[in-house]
Amino acid sequence: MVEWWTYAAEDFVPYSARSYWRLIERHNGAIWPTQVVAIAGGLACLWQVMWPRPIVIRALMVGFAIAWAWIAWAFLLSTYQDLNWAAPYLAAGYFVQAGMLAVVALLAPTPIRSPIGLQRSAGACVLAYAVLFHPLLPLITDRALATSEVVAVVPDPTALATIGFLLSTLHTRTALVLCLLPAMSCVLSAMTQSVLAQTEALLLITGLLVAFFGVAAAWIEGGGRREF
Amino acid sequence: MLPSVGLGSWITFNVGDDPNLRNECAAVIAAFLQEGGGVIDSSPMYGSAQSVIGYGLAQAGNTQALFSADKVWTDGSNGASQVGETQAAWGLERFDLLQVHNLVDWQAHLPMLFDMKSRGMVRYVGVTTSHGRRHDDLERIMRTQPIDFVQLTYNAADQEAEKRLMQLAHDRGIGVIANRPFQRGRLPERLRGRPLPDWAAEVGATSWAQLLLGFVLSHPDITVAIPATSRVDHLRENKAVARGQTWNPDLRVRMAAIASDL
Repeated sequence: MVEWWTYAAEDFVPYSARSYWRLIERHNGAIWPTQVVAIAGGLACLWQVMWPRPIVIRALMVGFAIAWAWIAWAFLLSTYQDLNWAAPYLAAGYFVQAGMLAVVALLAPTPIRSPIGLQRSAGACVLAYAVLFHPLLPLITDRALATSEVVAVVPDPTALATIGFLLSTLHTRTALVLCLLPAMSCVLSAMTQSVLAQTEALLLITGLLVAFFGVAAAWIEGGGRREF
Repeated sequence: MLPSVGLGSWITFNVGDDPNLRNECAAVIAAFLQEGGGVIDSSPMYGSAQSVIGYGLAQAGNTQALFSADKVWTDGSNGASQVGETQAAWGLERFDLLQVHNLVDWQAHLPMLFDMKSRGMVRYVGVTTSHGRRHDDLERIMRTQPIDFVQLTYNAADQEAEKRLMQLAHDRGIGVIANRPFQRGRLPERLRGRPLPDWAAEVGATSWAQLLLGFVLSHPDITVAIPATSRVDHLRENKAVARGQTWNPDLRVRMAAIASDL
C-alpha cells in the first residue's frame, strides 16, 4: 500500500511549470475556437448576476455542468493524464460536480433566490475575475498568451467561476453544497501552483477567501438566521 | 565501472507527448550516452518519463553505455505486470536494476524481484526512499535482505543518511544511489548570484551546481548520483564533475556549512 501520508506536496506534482504551461498551450490550440464560446458563456453569467432570471440561471447551471464534464474528459483524462497519474481521480470528482449541477438545475424546486447583498457582491467579484481577468494573466507573468486559461476550458477559472456564479445567484445553503468540490479543486490547484512557484496559487486562494468572506459577512448581516 | 554521474528523470522527463519537449529530452539522453552514459533512473510514479526515456533511447540508437534502472511502485499483487509495462515503455527486454520505490509493499515486491534476478531477468535489485523518509525501515531492509543497491536522498543540505545508512551500505557491499542532489533545483537557485568560494578551483568546479554535485560524489560510499536535467549544457556540466579533482574532508565541511545556511 502506498503510504500517502509520508509524501510531501511536491511528490504529487511530478512535472515542471514549463511542461504544464506547454500542455495548456497545446490544449488551447487543439480546442480553438471553443474559448470564444466559453467566454461568451462567462459573460452571460455576469449578465445574470446583474439581471437574474430563474430560467436563464438554470440554463447556465446546465452549461456549467457540461463544462465540468467536458473538462474532465477533454482535459483531465485526455491531456493532463500524460503528466499526472492522479488525473483520473480528479476527473471523477469533476464528473460528480457535473452531475450535481445538472440535478439541481433541472430537478431542484426553488434553488434560486437572491442572496444577501455582500454574498452576491463577493460572488460577482470572483466570477468577474475568473471570466475577465484570469485569462489575461500571461500579460503580467512570463508566459505566452497562448497559455491563457479560460473559463469552461480548463479547471482553475472554471472552479472559481462556478463558485462566484453560484454564490451570487443561489440560495446560500444550496450554493455552499455545490461549491464544495470547486473549492477543493481550487485548493488542490493552489497547492500545485505553489509547488511550481506560480503566481496563480496566490490568486486562487484570494478568490476563495473573497468568496468565503462574502458568505461570512452575509451570514452576519442576516443575523445568523437558519433560513439564511 | 559504473560512471558516478547518472541521470534522474523525476520532473524533467515528464513532458507528455509534446514533440518539442520530447526531442529536448532525447538530446539530453544522447549527450548522456556520449559522455560515458551510466545509470538512467525512472519510475512509474514519474508520469510520462518512462515513455520519454524510451523515445530518447530509440533516437540514440547505440545504448551500450546505458545502465537502466527503474522501479516498482504499486500494490504487491501488480508488481510483475507493472514491470512488464515499464519494459515496454523503455523498449528494453531486461533492466540492469529494479528497485522497490519508496518501499511500497516491499515485502511483496522484493521476493518477486529476487526471483527475477535468479532467472536472469534483472541484474540487480534495490530499494529506494527520498526526503529522508522511512530510514528505519530502510536500515532494517539493508540488514536483512540481499539487496544490491539502495537509493536515498543525500546532498550538501541533507546528510541524514551519513549517520547510519552509508556505513551500513559499505559494510554490506550495497551500492548507494544518491537522489535529489540539488533538492529539485532549490539549492542552486538559492546560491544563484553568489560568488564561488575561492577553493572551488581546487576541485575543478566552475559553478555552484558542480560544487553541490561534487560534494555528493566526494563521499566514499556514494556509488552514483542521479541529478535530473532537461538541458544538454547542464548534463555536460554535471558529467564534468566526475572528471574533477578529489575533495578533502575540509572542503566537504565548508560546502556543508554553506548549504546549511540556505
